[in-house]
Amino acid sequence: MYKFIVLSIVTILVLLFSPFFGERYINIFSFLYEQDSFYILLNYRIPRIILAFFAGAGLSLSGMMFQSLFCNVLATPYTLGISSAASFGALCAMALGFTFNVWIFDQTVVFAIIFAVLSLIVTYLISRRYAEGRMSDMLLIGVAMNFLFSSLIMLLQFHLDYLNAFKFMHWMFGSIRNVSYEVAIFEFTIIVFVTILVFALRKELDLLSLGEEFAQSRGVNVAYVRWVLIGIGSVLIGSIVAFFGPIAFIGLIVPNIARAIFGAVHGKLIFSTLLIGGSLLVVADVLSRAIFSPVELPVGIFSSVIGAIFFCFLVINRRH
Amino acid sequence: MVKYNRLFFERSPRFPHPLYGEGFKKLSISNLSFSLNEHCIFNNVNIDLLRHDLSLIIGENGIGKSTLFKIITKQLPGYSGEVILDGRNTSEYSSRELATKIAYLPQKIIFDTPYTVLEMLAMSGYSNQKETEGLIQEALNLFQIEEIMHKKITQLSGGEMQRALLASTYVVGGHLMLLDEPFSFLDPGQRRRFFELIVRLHEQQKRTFFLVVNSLEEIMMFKDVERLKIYVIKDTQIASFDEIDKNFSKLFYDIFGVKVGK
Repeated sequence: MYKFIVLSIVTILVLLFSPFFGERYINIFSFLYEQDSFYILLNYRIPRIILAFFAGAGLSLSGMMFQSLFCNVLATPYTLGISSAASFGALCAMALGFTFNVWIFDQTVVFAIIFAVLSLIVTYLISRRYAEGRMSDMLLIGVAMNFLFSSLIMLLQFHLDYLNAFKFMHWMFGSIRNVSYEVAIFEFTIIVFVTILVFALRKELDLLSLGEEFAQSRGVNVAYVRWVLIGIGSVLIGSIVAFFGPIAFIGLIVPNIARAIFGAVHGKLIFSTLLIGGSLLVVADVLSRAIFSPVELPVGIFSSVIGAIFFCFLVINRRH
Repeated sequence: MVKYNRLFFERSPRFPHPLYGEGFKKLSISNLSFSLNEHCIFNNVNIDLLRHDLSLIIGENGIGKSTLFKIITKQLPGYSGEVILDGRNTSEYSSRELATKIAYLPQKIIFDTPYTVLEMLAMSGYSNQKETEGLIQEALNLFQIEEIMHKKITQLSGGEMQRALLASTYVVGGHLMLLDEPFSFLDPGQRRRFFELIVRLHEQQKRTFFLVVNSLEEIMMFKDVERLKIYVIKDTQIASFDEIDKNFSKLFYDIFGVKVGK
């Protein structure tokens, strides 16, 4: 329990203090009197922190779901090829070169979501028709989809002009763009919705992570539960990748960190994953803005660097 | 964790447990035929499991012992014939309902997720939420796993693992226990103790067992158990024996080339 309190305190501290750091430091004691500082804080820093937190939390949660579902701690939110499909969609939107805007959804976001859903449906149909819904085969089909879309991306990239190719490369790194409270509300709604569903299915997840057959033998309706989980997981990933690009690695390491610290039972794991994932991405985002200021690095690079080092540390220490 | 610690102040094993009191009467498999990739596995097979039976099943590797268990626990659809559990077709049962009748231990389980033994027991009570605490308490005593209950399941030895798995199967709550090769990976001593556990459950609680075994030694261990039935799978057919007699010895020799007895 004390671990949870520590984690909550750390999360709150991260959320409270990170808005003051960035391209330039804002004085914590005097920001209320400086009008421009206050403006930056309210309109850029705070929504950005909130978005980074949601993106990190959501990616980590979906990573946790897929790891449990596939009984494989190396599964990531992108294992089923959803991110490369979404990326391909975004690239198509850039290549086609038209623009539109409905509320917070612009052409890139809409195309990314459409392709993510399409790839999932194709994977589902193939594995249902030809693999009798076996999880291991579905994983393989997902990996194949991943490579298929990656190749399509390269193919299309050859035909892009320099500007679009660069824009797209930047998109592929993943970063917290689209800073606005509307996007934050959208992400918040989805994360709350998914978290409630996942929490309701925590016992099924516990058993599924010991293997499909074991779960079935304990009375879990595996066929039904896994499609619910894959469905909501994909919605979650699609909505994050569409706005922020495929931020790498966080969905792989955060669930593992959480599992090492809080144990593998999902009742606790869900919330620790959310908090750790959110905080980690917030810190990574702040660092990516601050270190090479005024140049802003894509946060995907930084989350990978921090995560990889911490992860190695964790694996080495696990046996002791 | 508070919830689990409470267990140790309520030592009240209730025999027979309400859950398996009238949980099971009869499982009858009739005219079962099943093919996998156009390769016939079963052809018109009939098996009846009655309450308090202890049935063993043996056959060559890959001949369909595990397949039979999967059909019973409705993990494999697409068979013809009927599997009737207490008057209803198994396909009419929900997964959860089926688990309150049949506790099934799959074969060769390898775990990667670092749960503790106690956590695994707790989650095995998935389909009987209210009874779980009582069942865990009973399982801890019966299978003597109190000393390993806080160990990670990824770090157990073969014997500990098998005990923990049987305990978790016990916690599932179903009266009929289907155990798929419970004796593999055990040394002779552990095998003996494991056998005694099964016989104890069979005698004290009038449990019904259906085990896959894969050696003559294992069958011979059970030879004096009451209500023993031995099924032998050969060429898509299943023969049944009530005791180890001449016919059994002959069939056994036909299949495995091993002589039974002297």
